[in-house]
Amino acid sequence: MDISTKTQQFSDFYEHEVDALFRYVALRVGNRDEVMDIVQETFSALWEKTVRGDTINIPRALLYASARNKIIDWYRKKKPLSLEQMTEREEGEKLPFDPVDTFAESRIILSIEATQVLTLITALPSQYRDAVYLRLVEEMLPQEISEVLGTTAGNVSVRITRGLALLREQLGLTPPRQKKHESV
Amino acid sequence: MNQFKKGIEDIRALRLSDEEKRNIHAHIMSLPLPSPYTHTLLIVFSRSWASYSIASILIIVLVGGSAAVAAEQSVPGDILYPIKIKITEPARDLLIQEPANYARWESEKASRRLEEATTLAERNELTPERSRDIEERFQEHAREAAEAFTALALANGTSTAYDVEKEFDGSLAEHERSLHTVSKRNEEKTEKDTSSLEKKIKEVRSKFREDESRSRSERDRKEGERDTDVSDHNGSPRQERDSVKKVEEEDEGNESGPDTRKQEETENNLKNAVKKN
Repeated sequence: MDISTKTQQFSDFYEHEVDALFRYVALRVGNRDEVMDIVQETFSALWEKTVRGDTINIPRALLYASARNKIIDWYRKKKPLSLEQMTEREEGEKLPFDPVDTFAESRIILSIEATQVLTLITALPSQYRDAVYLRLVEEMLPQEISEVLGTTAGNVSVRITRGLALLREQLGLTPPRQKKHESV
Repeated sequence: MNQFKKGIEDIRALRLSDEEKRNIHAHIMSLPLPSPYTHTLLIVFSRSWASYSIASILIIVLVGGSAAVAAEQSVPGDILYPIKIKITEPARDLLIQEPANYARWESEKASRRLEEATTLAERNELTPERSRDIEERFQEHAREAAEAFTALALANGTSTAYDVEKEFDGSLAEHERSLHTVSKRNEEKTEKDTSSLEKKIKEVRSKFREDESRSRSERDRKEGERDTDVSDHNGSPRQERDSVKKVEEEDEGNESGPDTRKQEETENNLKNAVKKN
């Protein structure tokens, strides 16, 4: 594949995904300039891989996984985690991050409904949060989400199902269950 | 529920401005194109975690390895000496598990300090500070060696510990001699610096000798007690050996007696037969 074809394909992909990636980052990183930096770095990394001819199975998943790592790095630099937060981490999860914690202080304006939805998603246990967000808002498939989160598609499906069940409970659509949800 | 759907739609409406999109795209496209061979030729500059790990290990092995080898030959005052004292030797401490090897290594460390002192004395660079530093380290290693000998005696028996201790004592004696020879050759200042260290070596050696004689007398006492216990029932080993020998001699005597008598009888019978004939 020559460089002009690669450039065209990358540009089309960029056009299709940049807004979604911006949302994903903006809801987790407060400062708009830093959001722009992360988005730019993430696409730059993908562009480098494309030019080098690296094998990319699911470009969308790779993009989000890369952005997720950059957000985690940003959190590490921004605020060191306490021992309590570290011990509360779920197995397999790199670091917790909380959208509501930061988007309120950014210049991003959200409607009341959007804020409520984000508040509900953020209130979910950390292992369900990302899976539910990517499924509901970005309409990603379990296979793609599994690539982003570094787990199996089956595991993602379980997380989504349980996360949605909890959301329904929070919205009062179903009565709350007695048994506490087990972590996936 | 409609509010929930509206909330999701509102989140999806969160977008970059056209200008922001164009700026980011233009910036990415202005980046220099990476070489397709970058990741194979220059693995160090690749951004993946595995590449960083491999590169770090290579650097540690190549740079650290050669530094560690060079550090082994260093003496107090050299740049690499702290690596020898604080990295390579403690690393060997961790690697050695077997009690005998550990005891040998502890005594070798003490010998190493003396070698360093000899080298510095030969170069006429054994300052009072360095001498004091070496003395302290030597005493520390000698103490650790004594502990290691005790541990070895408990683990492998006193004879093994005694052998290792003897090797160490021989090494100390050798270092004492060479240090004394060097200091005699050098000027008076240096001699003054080494005399203190020589005194320390003598102290350590005499202490080891005391320990050794104490442990030997202890061992003899224990063996004596064991022998006494055994003799109450069956006699001492020596008595036992004597009695066994006596029995064997008696057996031999008994075995030879009948044969001789039989032969005499045969001869007499033959004589009588000849007389009759």
